[in-house]
Amino acid sequence: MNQLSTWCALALTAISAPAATINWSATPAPGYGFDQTSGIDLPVGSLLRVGTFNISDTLIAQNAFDVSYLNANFVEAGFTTIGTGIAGNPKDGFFTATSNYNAVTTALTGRQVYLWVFKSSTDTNPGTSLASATEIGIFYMPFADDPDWAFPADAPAFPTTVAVADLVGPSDVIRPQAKLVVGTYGPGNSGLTGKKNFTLSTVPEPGSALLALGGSLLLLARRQRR
Amino acid sequence: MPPSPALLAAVVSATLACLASVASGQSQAATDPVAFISLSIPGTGGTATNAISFKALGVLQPVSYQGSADTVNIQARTLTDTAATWNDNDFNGAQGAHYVEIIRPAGVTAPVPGEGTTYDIAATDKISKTLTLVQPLDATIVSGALFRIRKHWTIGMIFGANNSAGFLGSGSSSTADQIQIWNGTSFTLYFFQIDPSGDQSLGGTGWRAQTSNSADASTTVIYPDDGLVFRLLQDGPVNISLLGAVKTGPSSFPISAGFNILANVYSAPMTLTSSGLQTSGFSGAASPSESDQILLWNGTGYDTYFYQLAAPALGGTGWRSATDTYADAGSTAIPAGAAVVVRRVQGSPFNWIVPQHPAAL
Repeated sequence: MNQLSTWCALALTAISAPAATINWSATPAPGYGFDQTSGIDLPVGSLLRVGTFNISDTLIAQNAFDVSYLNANFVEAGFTTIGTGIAGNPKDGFFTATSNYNAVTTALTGRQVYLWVFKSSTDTNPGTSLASATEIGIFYMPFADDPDWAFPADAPAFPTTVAVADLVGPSDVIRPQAKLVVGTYGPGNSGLTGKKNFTLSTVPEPGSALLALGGSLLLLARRQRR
Repeated sequence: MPPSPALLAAVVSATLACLASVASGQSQAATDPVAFISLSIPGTGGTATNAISFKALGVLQPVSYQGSADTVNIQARTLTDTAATWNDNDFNGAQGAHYVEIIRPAGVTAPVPGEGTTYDIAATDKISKTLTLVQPLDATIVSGALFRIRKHWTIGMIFGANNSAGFLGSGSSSTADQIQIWNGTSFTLYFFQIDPSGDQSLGGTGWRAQTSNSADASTTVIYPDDGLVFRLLQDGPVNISLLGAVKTGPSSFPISAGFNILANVYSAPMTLTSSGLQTSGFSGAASPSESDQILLWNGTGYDTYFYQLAAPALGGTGWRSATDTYADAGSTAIPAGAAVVVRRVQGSPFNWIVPQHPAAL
């Protein structure tokens, strides 16, 4: 199944009834959004996905350059784009959305909610955003610390509501429990609110990654010869 | 199944049929307007495995008695009415479950202490002219408080002791239509059991809770503020027509930490703004995840609303949808015959004081 047909299948799944519901956001109030590595607010139209990973955080971080690998190990509950839900005046770095999913077919009930954020060269549709990602960020709050970060079951089980602001405590300090699997908190601030943003990390192009790997192997070989 | 606007709009039609005296065997009975409510509980339409809906009865039993509590004993949970004409156990036991509601006297415009609060009746005493109540009385209620008594609805009264409403019955709750009532921590499931043995030896036929296949659940009380969650397996809808008294005066419903499912007790729609929630103690916040929340069922999932506290440039202060933090959502309707979920995220419990809808009858 190619990526586009996968997206279509996911969309069809999302409208079957009854569904489970997750509300997810990074809203201008309280003001924490997303930044590119350049420190500029993530532009309107950038892809965001909510779901869970079938691999450990360590593996996610080690394979942060391999979007295809991460995608193969990701179970999606929904997706949206930066700017969604800001009435008539989309804002860079921010969004708010509600996603419905089938908790039975996705087997998401009780699993950890992850936010996966993309900066891509082409945002024509989710498939092209995924294929052309140049930066990503993966963030979450463990549900052991905040139970809202576990996916609910299908209705009538109640929905859950999560926000990237949940990762930030008083005085704009990142909570120690917050998981920044890929990406950082700051250093840049939102151009709209002045609050610190969550910043994505660069995804090396496959060629760059291979060169880096080749260089490392060469150095290792030289050391072994000595 | 996508939500059908026509279906959603037609789920409830509430008609103020007439203003009439409500029948009562008590000399102190009051009059109430009556309404005819039609509830359409959607089936699957053959396109889904089950169909969920959130409903409210929207009408009450007629007033059985109305009087004034000459003595209110908060500690003993008793109301004494020296003019009472009731007999022993008129409002409890074999006569069925009844409840007291504290009301505002006619012509009084200012709120009175404890108005709209309700209490189950544990005992009715003829000689002492005293009612003993189940729940602790609001400590602000004072002697002279006006009150009225109504009988509770039960599952058997609403849906028929023999399931005249037409729910899909079965030998197991998992293969039957379900009525789910939230108990504060989980749903209690009711269904119409059809004894599979043919000789009534496997629990018998009738209304049952999922927790017991033999105990008759037809007398289970449906409280005025109970939101009912229906989970139908059958294709077609279940249509219920209910004639009852219109709720008048303000209502007071306890909101606990966590999730609460509450009925719109009035026979008219209300909005988030007119509901009185925000003025009762519903807590807003900058983020939807930190605010108390209202969840409205849309036929396939929940629509979430919260009270945002923000500067105008960041979305402003007021009712907002979780899908749009800039647009005013205060006019979002809570229809007659609908139930809502109130999620108390912040702080301690509070009483939701709901103004009468419509304001004038």
